[in-house]
Amino acid sequence: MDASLPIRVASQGSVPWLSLIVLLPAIGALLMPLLPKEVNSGSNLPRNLALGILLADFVLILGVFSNLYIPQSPELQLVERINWVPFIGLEWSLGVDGISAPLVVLSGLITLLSAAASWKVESRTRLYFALLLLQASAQGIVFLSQDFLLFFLAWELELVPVYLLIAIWGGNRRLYAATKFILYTALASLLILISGLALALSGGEFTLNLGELTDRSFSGTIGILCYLGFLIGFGVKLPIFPLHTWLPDAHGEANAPVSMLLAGVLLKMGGYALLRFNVQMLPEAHLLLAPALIVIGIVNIIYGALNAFAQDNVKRRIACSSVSHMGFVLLGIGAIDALGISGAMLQMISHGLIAASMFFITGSFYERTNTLSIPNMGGLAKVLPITFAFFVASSLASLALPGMSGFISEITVFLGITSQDAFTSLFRAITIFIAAIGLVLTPVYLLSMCRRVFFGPRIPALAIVNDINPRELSIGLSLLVPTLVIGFWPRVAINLYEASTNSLAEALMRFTT
Amino acid sequence: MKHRYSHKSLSNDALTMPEMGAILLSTQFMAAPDELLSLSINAGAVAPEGCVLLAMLGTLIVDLAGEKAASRWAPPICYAGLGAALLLLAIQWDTPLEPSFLGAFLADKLAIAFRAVVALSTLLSLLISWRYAEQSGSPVGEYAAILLAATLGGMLLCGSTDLVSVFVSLETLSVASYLLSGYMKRDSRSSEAALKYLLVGSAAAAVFLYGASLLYGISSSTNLQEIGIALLNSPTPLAALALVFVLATVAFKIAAVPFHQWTPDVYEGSPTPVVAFLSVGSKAAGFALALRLLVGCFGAFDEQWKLLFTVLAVLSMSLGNVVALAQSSMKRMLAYSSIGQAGFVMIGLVCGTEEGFASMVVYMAAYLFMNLGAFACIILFSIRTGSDQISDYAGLYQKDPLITLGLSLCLLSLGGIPPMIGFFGKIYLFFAGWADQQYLLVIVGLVTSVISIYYYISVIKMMVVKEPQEASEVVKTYPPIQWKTIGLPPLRVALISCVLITAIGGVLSNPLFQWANNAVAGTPLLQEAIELTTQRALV
Amino acid sequence: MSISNSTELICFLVLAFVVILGSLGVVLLGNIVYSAFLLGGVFMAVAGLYLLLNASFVAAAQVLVYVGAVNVLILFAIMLVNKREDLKPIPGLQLRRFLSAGICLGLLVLMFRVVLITPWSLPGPAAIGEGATVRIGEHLFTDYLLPFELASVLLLMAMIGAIVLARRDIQTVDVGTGNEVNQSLIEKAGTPLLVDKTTT
Repeated sequence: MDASLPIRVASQGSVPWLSLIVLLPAIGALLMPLLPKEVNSGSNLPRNLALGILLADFVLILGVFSNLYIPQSPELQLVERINWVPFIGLEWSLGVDGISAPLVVLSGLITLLSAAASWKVESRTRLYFALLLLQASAQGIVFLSQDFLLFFLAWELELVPVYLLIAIWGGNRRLYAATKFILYTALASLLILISGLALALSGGEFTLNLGELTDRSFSGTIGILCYLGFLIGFGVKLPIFPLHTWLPDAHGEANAPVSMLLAGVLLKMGGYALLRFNVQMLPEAHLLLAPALIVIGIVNIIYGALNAFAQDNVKRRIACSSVSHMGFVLLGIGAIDALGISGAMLQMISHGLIAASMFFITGSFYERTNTLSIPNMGGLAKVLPITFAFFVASSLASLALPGMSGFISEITVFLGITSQDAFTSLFRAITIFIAAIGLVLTPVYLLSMCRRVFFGPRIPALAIVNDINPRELSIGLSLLVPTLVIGFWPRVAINLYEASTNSLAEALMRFTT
Repeated sequence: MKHRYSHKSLSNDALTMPEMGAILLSTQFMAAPDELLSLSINAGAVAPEGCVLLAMLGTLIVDLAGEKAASRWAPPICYAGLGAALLLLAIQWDTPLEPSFLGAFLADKLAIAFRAVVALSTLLSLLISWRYAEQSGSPVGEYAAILLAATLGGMLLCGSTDLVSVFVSLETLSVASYLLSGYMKRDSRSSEAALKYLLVGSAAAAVFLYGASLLYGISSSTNLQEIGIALLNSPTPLAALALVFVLATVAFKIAAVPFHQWTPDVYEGSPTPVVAFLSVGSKAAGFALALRLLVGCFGAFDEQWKLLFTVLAVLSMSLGNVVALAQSSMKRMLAYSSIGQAGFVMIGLVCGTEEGFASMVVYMAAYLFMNLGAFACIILFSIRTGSDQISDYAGLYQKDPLITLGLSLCLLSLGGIPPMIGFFGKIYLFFAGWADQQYLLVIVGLVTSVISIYYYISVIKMMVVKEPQEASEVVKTYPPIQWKTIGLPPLRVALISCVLITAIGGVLSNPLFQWANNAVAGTPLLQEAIELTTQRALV
Repeated sequence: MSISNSTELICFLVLAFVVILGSLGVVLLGNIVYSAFLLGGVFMAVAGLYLLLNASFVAAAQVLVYVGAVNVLILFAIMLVNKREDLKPIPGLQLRRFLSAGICLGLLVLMFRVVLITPWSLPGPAAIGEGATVRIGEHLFTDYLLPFELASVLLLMAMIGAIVLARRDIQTVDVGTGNEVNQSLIEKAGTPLLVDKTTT
């Protein structure tokens, strides 16, 4: 904790692009209270401001990543380091590599679309959009931070906005869900902080810089303990099987745009952190515990799928399918080879898009039916043909239909596992077999839901007048088109991160021998 | 003779501890009377306290002219006095260190930092007091005078280096606090608070005196440094007993569990601005006393008092935060939360490292703003509605966004949520604790801060999440907001500045950390203790 | 043992006996007036102990301050409050008494033990006798100047506080708004901690 470090800026260009990307939404959030008070609830000003800022931010992300970011290099790029509070090792340290870049793009897109989907939010719009923007900033910092404390700060920062977003604009049991969310996350962050601290203080001079920590080797008990701490801490977000119980509640009770954000971005924070900390920083412990990760992944897949059958609520069922799908991320990470990690990465991207689109479509027909209970619906295909089409398309994407992104990513994960010689062939065979069962279960619960909601006798109580409107159409398309593009031409996504995941796998390989 | 204590000579080990003791002993016992009288007493060190005293006398004089004149003139006099005190403290920061009053007082950087915290907490408490005092019909002039006397006691306590001056300043602070907590004399709750506080406080004072007499018996001196040397040379069981007695008093002052029983009742029954002062100013003085006595005096019993304080800290953090969950009154909840917060600060004390002490100072400063900000909000709420029940805050966002925002930010900061100032303070404490291998303390601290997040956020939930139709009766009949009444503008100033510092002070907290580290680095007492600890660790 | 020594010993024993018995009486007797008078006796006996230690100034101060002022004040207070009140019996009083007696006895044993095992550096400094007053004066104006001056502030503040708490003319209007006030907490009582006698 040397206090005398001079403040330094080491940005490759003269413009701190990454800071701009993460701070733009926060500045927008600070502007929100300055807007005139909503006299009548129909004021569009906060929404338009939020949309404008998020759109600008997304354009900025795309511009920066397509012009200044070099995807072929596994190095950390666009690095910015400014000393903030050196006494606690806090640095404003941002940088982007292949693991963060696709997730930043994804989160920019999802946040923008969820703001656009927040059409029906009519009460307290200033607060709503301010929180949304704050959350956007926090998640940006999480993905880009290269300092543990900055990462942790952003990780915690996102707690309160999400809590309030669920607690104020959620469904009937919103308070319960929000409280559960905040308690789970706060307890998890406790483990994260302790593990981070333990790493920072062991094996040399105190440092919280992720790069410097990665260069150190943490072998023995300390590495394993920190690995487990991180695994549980991030596993709550991902979620990992016994720690997932907050998720169906939170996703089920939040309104559709917030659910999009939860499924599309928040879960990815867990996966990202697992890659960044558990795999990259603690390779030795990871090699040791990778089989356990695979076992947990399988449990996730099967448990999530079986759990989904039991849900009568559309959103809860989708939430459980998220648990199942995130199991593939665990499988990929556990496969400890380039293919597996690449598959995990792609699965995160593809699940972000697909889950967001499913939650979005659900929200759009919930606005018309005012119910999410599966038994209370039926025959909606006739009155809502376009919604139906979208829903089926998302479901097909979700069940990994060839030609959709989910197929590519799950196949890659399978290939990763099968080609990993470090495991015994029996282990691999059993893994593949059980995961394949999960794969088979997915269409069953998703399509049966489609059938019960959209076919069958029409429930007369549901008086529906209009189908999807152009705004919703464009949001849905913005989520589905990338899914299809990645499905047919996965290179577009893989190129973004491949260099980094390869070097990550190489680093792992170095420890196997 | 001059500059014998200057910062340089001490930190550069020009004098070892026994040698210094010899010199001190010689001044106290062998000097002839005329020689004693010719010594410089260096009274300039207490110039800030002089300002506070002048302000106190000034308020008493204007109070003679009647209640109207008092409510008109007492505030500016208090502001001037405390402002001047703070200014003088700032000037004192860089002056060379010299003991004053022949060893009774030492204005080292530690003392200056804690005195500044005490003075600032009084200033802010006064800003939020006027309307409350007037609305409850209590005489304002005397109120301000007694609060200033308490400040005087607290500030002197921070710098006292002699058992007698420690005791007298401790009593000045305590007696003034008893009077203040019983100030609403027509209210049985206030009288009960004062009586309880008086009884428990007197018992604590008696215990302290007993311990002090034992210390004098061991060392034949009342000077803390000499006592420290004597204890180092002959650590007797009697000294351990004295340690326990002294520690009990310190624990009483900072309301550490199990010496906390007075806190909830006193906090609930006292006038709220007084509670604000007690929870910050009085506690800061208590921590300064703890540093002086334990670190400066009981260096020989390092392990023992650290063990005792570890127990106290664990108990305070867990009990304070867990019991706070069940409270329905805002003041009681803050009372228990302040017990928990004191537990967090104790982590820094137990570490005994450079970072540990610095983190104490940082957290006290952060706590000053966030806690007083929260109190400003609940005082404003009770002025407008006459209630402090948490359930009465339901739906407040609609009627009073300022209180809602301010209270939310301050409570989140108390809970340690970034980017508020409390997060940085807490992280620093935990880092310091972890670096010193106080794993138990850090883990208990982390777990209890999660618990504290739960009850802080349930208040926020009350205010922000409840729909208009779920609002409480009190909020439904909320009076229109107006700031013109005498006494409200200062409250607004205090509220907004506390909330602002709480909200953005964290992001810009580097100067605060720098300041705290300078304070620790520039305090010979702490440096010696740190050196001693590192030497022990090496051996 | 010389005569002076044995006289001193006898005086000490008598005084110590008075102090111990008297303080037990203060604590244990049921009638508060007896306790107050016994307290005066104890103070006097302690003054005698000071005399034995050759500290005549302290002894005089003890008599003047504790017997003359404090104890008389206590007696006044008791006599002014002549209301007899039947207090509610405290549940489990006997148990509480035993408990506190046990704790106090334990503390006493601990003290004895500590006193016995501590290597005292005897004899202490020689008594100055008549010079003590001068020495105390010197100390008060040199190294104890700060607490001495601060004590005056403490007394002033205590006096003001006593006046504020005791005086009858309370304000009835809010200076700022002119509303009626009654000098009680702004927060309305949720559940009163004490039963409010004025309303019931």
